[in-house]
Amino acid sequence: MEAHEITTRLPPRHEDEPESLRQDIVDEILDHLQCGLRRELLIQGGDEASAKERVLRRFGDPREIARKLWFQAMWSKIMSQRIAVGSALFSMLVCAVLVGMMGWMLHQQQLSAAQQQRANTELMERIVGLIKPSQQTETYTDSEPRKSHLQVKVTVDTEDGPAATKCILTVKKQPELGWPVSNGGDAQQFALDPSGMADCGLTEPGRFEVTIRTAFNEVATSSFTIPSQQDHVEHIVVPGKLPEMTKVIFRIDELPNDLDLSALGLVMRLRPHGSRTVGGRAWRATGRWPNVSMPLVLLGLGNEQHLGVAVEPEASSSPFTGIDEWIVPIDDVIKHGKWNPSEEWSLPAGEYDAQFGLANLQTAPVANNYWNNLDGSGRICTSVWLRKNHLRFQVEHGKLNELTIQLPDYVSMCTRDQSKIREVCEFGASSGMSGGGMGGGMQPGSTGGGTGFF
Amino acid sequence: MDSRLLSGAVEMLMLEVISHGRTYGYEISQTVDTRSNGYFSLKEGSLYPALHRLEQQKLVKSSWHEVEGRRRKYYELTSAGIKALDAKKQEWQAFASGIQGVLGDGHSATVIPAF
Repeated sequence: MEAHEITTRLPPRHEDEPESLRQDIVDEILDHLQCGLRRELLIQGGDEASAKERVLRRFGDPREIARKLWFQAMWSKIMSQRIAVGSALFSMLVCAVLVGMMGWMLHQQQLSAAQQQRANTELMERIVGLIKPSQQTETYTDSEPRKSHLQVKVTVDTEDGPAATKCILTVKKQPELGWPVSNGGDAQQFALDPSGMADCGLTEPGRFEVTIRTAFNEVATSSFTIPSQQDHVEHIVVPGKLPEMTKVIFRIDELPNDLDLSALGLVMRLRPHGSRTVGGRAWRATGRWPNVSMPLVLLGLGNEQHLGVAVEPEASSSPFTGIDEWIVPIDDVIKHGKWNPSEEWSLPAGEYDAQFGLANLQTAPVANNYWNNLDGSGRICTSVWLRKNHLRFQVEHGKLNELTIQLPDYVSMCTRDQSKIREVCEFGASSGMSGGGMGGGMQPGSTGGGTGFF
Repeated sequence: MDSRLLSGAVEMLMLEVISHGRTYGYEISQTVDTRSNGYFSLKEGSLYPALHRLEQQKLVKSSWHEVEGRRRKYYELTSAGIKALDAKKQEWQAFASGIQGVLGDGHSATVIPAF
């Protein structure tokens, strides 16, 4: 057997294989076979071929023996390499598994966070629902656009009634739970178009308050919640007419008889009070009824003949608190000359407050008989209100209402309070009157100085 | 012979043969065959994996020499091989003694004196 035949079953040369390994294996096997052949030829004789055959039979397959010896020599190196490769593969597998697990955990964490956020939102909605059970709850998330379209529709008397146009809307966003106050609080006014609609535009969701003032100076408020991304139309029904007009006469129980202050007078005006329900809402009267001749009762203190009821003119604004100034058409008062208890006035039914004030009547260029010496022009009556809402009258529909002005003790006390009266006089004097408050004049439209009492 | 008994004995026999002086593979195989009267009817080639295993275990060491124009690999015992051979011999003799004690005349027995 030749050397190259012995190596036929050896694996390809390994990179870590020693240079002499294959040759050493071949040389050792060939030496054994040569020794065996020599001995076989010496002892057994015969031809060489049969001797070789016997030698090989005793030795076994040299190629297989060479293969075993090669693997035995290379075993540790091959195994080391395989272990290294296996370790690398295992490490990669572990890394891949770890990356996969981290990704899965991250995904789970995101799912959990989203679930937690949903739970928090639901909890928030429940809390808001508990606080405002009658209101619709809503959800706020930073990622969602929040604008909603808000419109207000106003009809007269009923929901199917004609469109209301002469109303003024004030829309105000209220601070919400968890919202800074700066997000609300800014009121905006809107007018109604001919169809009775007010387009308030896009707004953030939240709780809103709409205050509507009618042409009758009645006010009602509507609160509602606009959810996120849901347009909202708030429908408001307003009263279409004044309460029924009712006949009223004024009476006075008694006048203080211990006062002799002809320059001062007592003024009483009426203001509607309370509310009426229209369209499911309470409409609260504010200010005087429009287009109604409101009575202004003038009492000339110190002269019971000098009483009269005039139509209340529009009061001009005064820079001084508690002071109203009127251009009073005194003609309406003096034409009677004295109190006319049978004069009938017509007022919308309802409740009224009687508001009393001290009036400086010295602006009229008269002294004791100023009612009769007016030049016919309007005169200024400057009044400092003693107290408002002192008397309350109920004007009932369907009957003649007799409103008795009860001059209570406190009015008398106030008028007896010389210091206050002096202040009123001084106020009149500083307003340009001359002669210690007698005989001076003040032109319409001028304003006085001084301060209010209360 | 049972292969389980043979595998333990072959290495001891080879160490014993090598312990008598530097020798090579063919000579070892012939010595084992001669001394055992052909009892171990082994393929001669199977001797070499065992020899190389003893070399890897540092029980024998090898060296190459030129003989009649051929390279020949000689083996000799290391000090570790000498100790290993002694241990294996003692172990084998104890084993054989035990076996012989059981398979012998059957009268030898340990007598425990009574006190």
